[in-house]
Amino acid sequence: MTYTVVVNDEEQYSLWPEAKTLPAGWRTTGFSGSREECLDHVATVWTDIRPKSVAPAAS
Amino acid sequence: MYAAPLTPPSEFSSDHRSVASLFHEVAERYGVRPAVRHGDTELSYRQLASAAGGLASWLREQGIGRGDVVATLVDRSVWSVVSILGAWSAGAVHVHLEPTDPDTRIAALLTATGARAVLVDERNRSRLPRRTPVLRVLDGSLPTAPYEPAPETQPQDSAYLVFTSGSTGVPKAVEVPHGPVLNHHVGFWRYLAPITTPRSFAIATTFAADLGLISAFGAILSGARLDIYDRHTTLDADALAAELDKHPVDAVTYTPSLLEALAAERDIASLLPRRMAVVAGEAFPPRLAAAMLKARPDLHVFNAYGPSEATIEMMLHHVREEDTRRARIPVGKAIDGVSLRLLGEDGEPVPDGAPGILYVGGRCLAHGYRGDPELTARKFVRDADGERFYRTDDLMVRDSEGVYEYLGRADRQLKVRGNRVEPGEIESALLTVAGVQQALVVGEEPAPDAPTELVAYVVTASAITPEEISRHLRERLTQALVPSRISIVPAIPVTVNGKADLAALRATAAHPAAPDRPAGDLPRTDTERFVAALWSSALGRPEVGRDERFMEIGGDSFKALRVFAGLRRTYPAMTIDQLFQHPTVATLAAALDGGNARGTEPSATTVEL
Repeated sequence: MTYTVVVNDEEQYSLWPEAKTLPAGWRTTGFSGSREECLDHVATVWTDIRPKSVAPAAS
Repeated sequence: MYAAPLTPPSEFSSDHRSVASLFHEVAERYGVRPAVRHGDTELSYRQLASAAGGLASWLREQGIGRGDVVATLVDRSVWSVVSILGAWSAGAVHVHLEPTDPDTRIAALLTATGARAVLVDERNRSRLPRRTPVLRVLDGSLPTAPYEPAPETQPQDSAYLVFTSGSTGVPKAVEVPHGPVLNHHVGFWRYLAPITTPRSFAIATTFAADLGLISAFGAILSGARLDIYDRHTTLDADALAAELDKHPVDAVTYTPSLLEALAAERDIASLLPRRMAVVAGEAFPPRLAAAMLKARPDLHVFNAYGPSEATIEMMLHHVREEDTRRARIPVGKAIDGVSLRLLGEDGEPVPDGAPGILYVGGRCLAHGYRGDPELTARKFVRDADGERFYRTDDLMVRDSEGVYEYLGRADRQLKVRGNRVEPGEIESALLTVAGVQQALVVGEEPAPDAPTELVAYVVTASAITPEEISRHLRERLTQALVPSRISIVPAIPVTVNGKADLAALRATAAHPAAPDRPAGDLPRTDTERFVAALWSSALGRPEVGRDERFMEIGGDSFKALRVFAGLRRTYPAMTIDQLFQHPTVATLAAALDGGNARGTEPSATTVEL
């Protein structure tokens, strides 16, 4: 199955099957691939797991 | 003293945005009522709030505020609670380090948290690495100040970090915000309300694990009294019974393996509180539930379930006598604010009665694993509506009434004496030991109905002994992860489908090339032989050497508890501290022969367990 890396307004990342309709509140980052490739991509783009609303701007 | 009626705790908190804010309201309302007690130290709500307020103002002076991490390394005491409340009041994230961990692990975890301040008690001060961030010794010199919660804290702000075993060899730091702690509090008290209203709790587990932390705050945020027991008290059935007799409490949370080990030493009724017992941390054996209810038919017994990622105690079951005749005690239903999904391999919901993997969503969820977005994305997934769920990898079944039962794990994770254990973390540590080529760690029950123990099978390239390997592991891992038995095997056999062939492995290990005989000299004196016989019985070994160290030949704190109970029948004045200070048969026998072992006062460097 092919996945796409998605992100929400809180800048939390997740994986979503490419063939399925995206849930409300989520947008694609444009990155697609296997599950493992997507997880690797998440590891590089998502640096702070806290939601954007509470993560300090400095980190 | 009890003039203020206990407000149903679920009536608090709806408008609180942080735990600190809720605590502030509770402390104002309960003022002079006792909040925490440890030994002879008791703090009222007002005193607890002032101590935490003093700590918070010190933290603010150091420039510590929203989102900064504050780490604490203390033996269980009132400081265990003051440190958390102080950090929260300053808007910081708190993490408790475990004093029984080896120094190297404490240093590594401290670095991993990125802590900006470290709080420590005098006894553990020397355990910290030389270069630490801002340090504060917690003692009577701490000034007091009004408790003023940081107004900017939001439910999504992180409250605490808790370490759990990681399958890749590195412990994971689960990051939990304030919202789930508030949600647990409301949900827990709503669940209890129609059943019982405990007004005092005791905590018999470490604050460095979230079971202890969440149980403690279940009490403190409700206006109840929290009694904190020393680790030694919880390993000594007589001491625990004496404590419960002297300071009766309504509720205690236990791990089943601890309660079972204690109940082997004395009448279980003397180890139970007045109103309710919560059993959590691992599967609740029906035989234990039966023994509890037989001894105390009036006691409310609860089975609690939950992973750290969902704030540890998010399902509860009120155990009835008829439940004890089932194969498994149910884990019950979710508390308010928690949603559950039971999904099959295909990701679709399974019907009632069919096993599935439990996914947990709702207001109980952690942010994820600090510093590990990849693992966070792997374990925290989204459903078709975009709602977040944590994949527990616990296999469960739900009956037609919505009651869940835990069946087992979908991966290799184990529960050992209430601790979550990833065999991969131990295998990684084993592979760092020079001479170890291959390693496999599994859980085994040494006898029917005996608690699960960790057994490591290792293939070695040099003449390293299991005792040496154990010593290396104890310098690196938390106690619960050190295997009870290390078997050196010529190879790890593999089945046709590529998995380790455990049956073949156990057969090989049962006939080791060198017999399992004691290393070094045998016991010499009558006292040594007496001690050695108790060790043999606890360890399940025919003989032990006089200079072998208890922890290196399969001993653990629960087995020490058995040895201690046996010793005290002959040496009634003996304390469990003395056992902890003397790791070998020879040293322990010498201490016993020396009367009350005066002159060997506890010192941090000789404590073995």
